Amino acid sequence: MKILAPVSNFKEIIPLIKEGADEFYFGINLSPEINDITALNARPFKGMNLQTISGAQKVIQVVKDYKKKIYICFNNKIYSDQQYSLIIEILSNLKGLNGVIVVDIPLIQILKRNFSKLEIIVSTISHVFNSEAIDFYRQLGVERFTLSRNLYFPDILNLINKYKDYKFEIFIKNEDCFNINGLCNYTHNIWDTKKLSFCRLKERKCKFVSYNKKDQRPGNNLKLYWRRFPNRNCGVCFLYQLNKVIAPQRISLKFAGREYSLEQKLKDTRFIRKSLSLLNSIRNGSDYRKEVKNLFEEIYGFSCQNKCCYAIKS
Amino acid sequence: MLLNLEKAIYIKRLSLKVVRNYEKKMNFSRIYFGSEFCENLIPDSSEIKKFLGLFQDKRFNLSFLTPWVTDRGLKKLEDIFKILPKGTEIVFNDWGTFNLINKFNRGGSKNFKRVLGRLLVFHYRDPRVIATKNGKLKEDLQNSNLNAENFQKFLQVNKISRVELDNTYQGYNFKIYKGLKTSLYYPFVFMATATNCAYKKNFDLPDCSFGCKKGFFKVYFPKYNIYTYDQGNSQFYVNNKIPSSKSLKLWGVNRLVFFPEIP
Repeated sequence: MKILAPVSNFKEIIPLIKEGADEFYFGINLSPEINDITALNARPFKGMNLQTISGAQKVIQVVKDYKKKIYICFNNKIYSDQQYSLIIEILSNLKGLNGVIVVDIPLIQILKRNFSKLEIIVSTISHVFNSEAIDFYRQLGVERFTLSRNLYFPDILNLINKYKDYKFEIFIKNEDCFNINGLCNYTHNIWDTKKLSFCRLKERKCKFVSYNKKDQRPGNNLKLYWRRFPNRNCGVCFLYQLNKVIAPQRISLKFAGREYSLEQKLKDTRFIRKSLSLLNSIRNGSDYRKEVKNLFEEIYGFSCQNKCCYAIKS
Repeated sequence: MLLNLEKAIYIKRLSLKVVRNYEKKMNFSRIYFGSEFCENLIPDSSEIKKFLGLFQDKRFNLSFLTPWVTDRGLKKLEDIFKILPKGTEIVFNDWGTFNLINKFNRGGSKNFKRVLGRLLVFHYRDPRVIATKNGKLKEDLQNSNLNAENFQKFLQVNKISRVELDNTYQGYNFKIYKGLKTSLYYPFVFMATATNCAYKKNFDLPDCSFGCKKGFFKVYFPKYNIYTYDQGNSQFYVNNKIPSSKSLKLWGVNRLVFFPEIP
């Protein structure tokens, strides 16, 4: 399994390679002020994106010097005609890219027509949840599939085993959206100075309204209500089971956090790389989880918070 | 400007009495049935048979709603598609379901009508838009993936003749192309959905206790003076105001779909 790491400038690449990253992804936005509408990718925040084509080319060059792979994100859900033109212009000026991470169907068609050598990766925002959806996107020319973090563990294994010649990306760390990516229609960088997404607004009052008129429960059921918003963002213990699928080498383990500090990215890469190494020596799932938790504490300096996704809560 | 609008109603419960009650209040000719947001709520074959028994061959047209699905949900849909009569309108909210419909349609055996569901219409549905005084922002938020001419062409090439829209506060700014029609859902505007659900005893299992059938959460956001409605794994806001005839015409709306309950 390969580690797919986020980068936001070229200086991060060599340290990340030394720590064990195999592949990289980045975003670009030429405008300094971006929001959900104007961004070219799904992360409309400063610090997450490169701002010049020359900066992007430098990133690609460093990655190529080390014979690694690099992908660009054009995974916003909506584009205007001007944004399509801008994407074409950017891609025409970048040499050495391996592929593009996309959501938008017309953009997939544009890429197939104009940039046939680029690998097309369907983003998690396309919410590929089932085998027919994989077939659908494959017909459009998609070669690699990012599976949703919201999928249950057996569903992921089934899909990967069913399509044993296809390549997959799996979010392994830091992706913690409450909703299904792509089926959430909130803005994330528009409203106020804190740029809070609607789902992150803490100040709210809630009342349970029963369909049964005789049911007179007290008004506030915040505890039950907040169960809808669990914080689960790590699937590293899941590697033990994932390693058992057919040809695990076609899987890229992606971690989110383009905006994170290099120190944080290095820790994440080290944690995933060392957890992968443990697979060679440990032959039992519960021992593996125990060792991964020890590793977590050693690398991050605090104990594992059990924020497990992929149905592996232990 | 008078538009010739087809009126439809979504029913959650299979009851002729309920339908008759609504019929007294509004004159509708189409019934929507099914689930848009959760594969656990896909009706089973017996419910579909009951639905067809109650409404097929009456004067109602029928539309079947489908949600985002895993392979488990696809299997359920496959069983239902075998039962649904030829030519039934199916609203798909997952491109995998679209692929499945195409399989059933191959050779003309089913000839299901394909309708793009609102979950596949990318459009910001952040309710805070109602509080903004920024006209430019409101305008920007009218964008959707239907603005792309190539997307509308893609729908037509793939014989998707209708698109389902939410009645968002800000509305839309696309222009519909010839051959494509749209429906407008009201009053519940879908905002977000998840695999997480407040009622789930164990998040790690796909099983479900159907707690969402007992009620919903009405949530108030004082900062923006907004109410939302959380039903199971999904969130909605309410917009009862139907856009002007001019807007409806521009967006190609020729059907209004009323949801008397939270879907």
